[in-house]
Amino acid sequence: MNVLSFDLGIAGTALRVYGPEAWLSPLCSAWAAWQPEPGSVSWDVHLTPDASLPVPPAPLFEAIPHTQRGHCTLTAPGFEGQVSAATGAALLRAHPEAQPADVGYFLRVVLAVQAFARGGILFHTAAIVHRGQGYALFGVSGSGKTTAAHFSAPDAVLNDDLVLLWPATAGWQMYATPFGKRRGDVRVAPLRALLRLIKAPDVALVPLSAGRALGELVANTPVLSADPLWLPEVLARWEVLLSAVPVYALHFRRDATFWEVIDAELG
Amino acid sequence: MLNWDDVLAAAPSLVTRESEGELVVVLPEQGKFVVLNATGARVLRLSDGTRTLREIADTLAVEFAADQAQVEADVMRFAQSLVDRGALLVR
Repeated sequence: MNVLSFDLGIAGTALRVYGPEAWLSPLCSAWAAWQPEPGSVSWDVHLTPDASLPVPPAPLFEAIPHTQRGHCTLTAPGFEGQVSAATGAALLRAHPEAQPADVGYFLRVVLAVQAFARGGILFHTAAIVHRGQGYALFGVSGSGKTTAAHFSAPDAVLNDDLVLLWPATAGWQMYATPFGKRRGDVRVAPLRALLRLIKAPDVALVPLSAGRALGELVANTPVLSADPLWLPEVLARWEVLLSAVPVYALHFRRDATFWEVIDAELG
Repeated sequence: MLNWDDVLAAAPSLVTRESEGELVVVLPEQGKFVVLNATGARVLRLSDGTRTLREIADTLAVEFAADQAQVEADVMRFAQSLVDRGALLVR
């Protein structure tokens, strides 16, 4: 078995991934442009085939991460994954028939843990760069993230599902990730506003109460929001971000008119 | 359905945070949240595993100098909604 390694990094995150060629070769090619910043300290991620595990009946994507005391497990038939923020290491044992997409999902989970440990937040959102400013259009599944991204053309889409929020000298930056669909080559933008998507007949930008905003944001924070011990820190991190970035409910319909309202209020 | 003699307690996994007069209550196992106003937050805090639902309603009626019957109706409905969401447990 040929073992490869490759590096993955976004903003201040850095992973060094070791595993068999069959799993890593497609990811090496697809993610070659996502390299850690020089000098970043990497977490080692080891991917190990284990034929004693059952053949996976479903993708790892369907497994739900469980976290406790900073230790995250991602287990499903055919997969046994562990991520430790304390040791800065991760291990996935998987049946040899596991697919590169399963490995990709595991790396998302590792990145979520590392990003939080280093001051950032991985966030479920469609991230649009409009007139040089980053807008995070978020909401539960089915709220219209993909639709909003579609109607934002030709604006760049950092990602239509997952971005990395990272503190900057002034405010926060929104970084693209390779984990979803993108449009354009923009990789980073200053975060101008967080917009909770609500389908409605009339377009409007409505302030969210602080409590409501906090709840909505935590609910869209993958991996970490499942851990009662991490949650207080997650809430505190979002409060820090909300002190610098406004949040609204964006009532929108299936056209691009919501950008006229955003430009009028925030542009 | 809840009874007035039920003793209520917050679910052990609940995580809360006050933010500008509201209480954000996160249910990590469900990935859901509830936002409570001051009255709702008081009901949650009084649900400490020692008081019955009737005692909670009585306390609120005194604290808010409100009509007892109206408070009882509101507390019953609100407590039931928190039990249904898994935020409150019946001891």
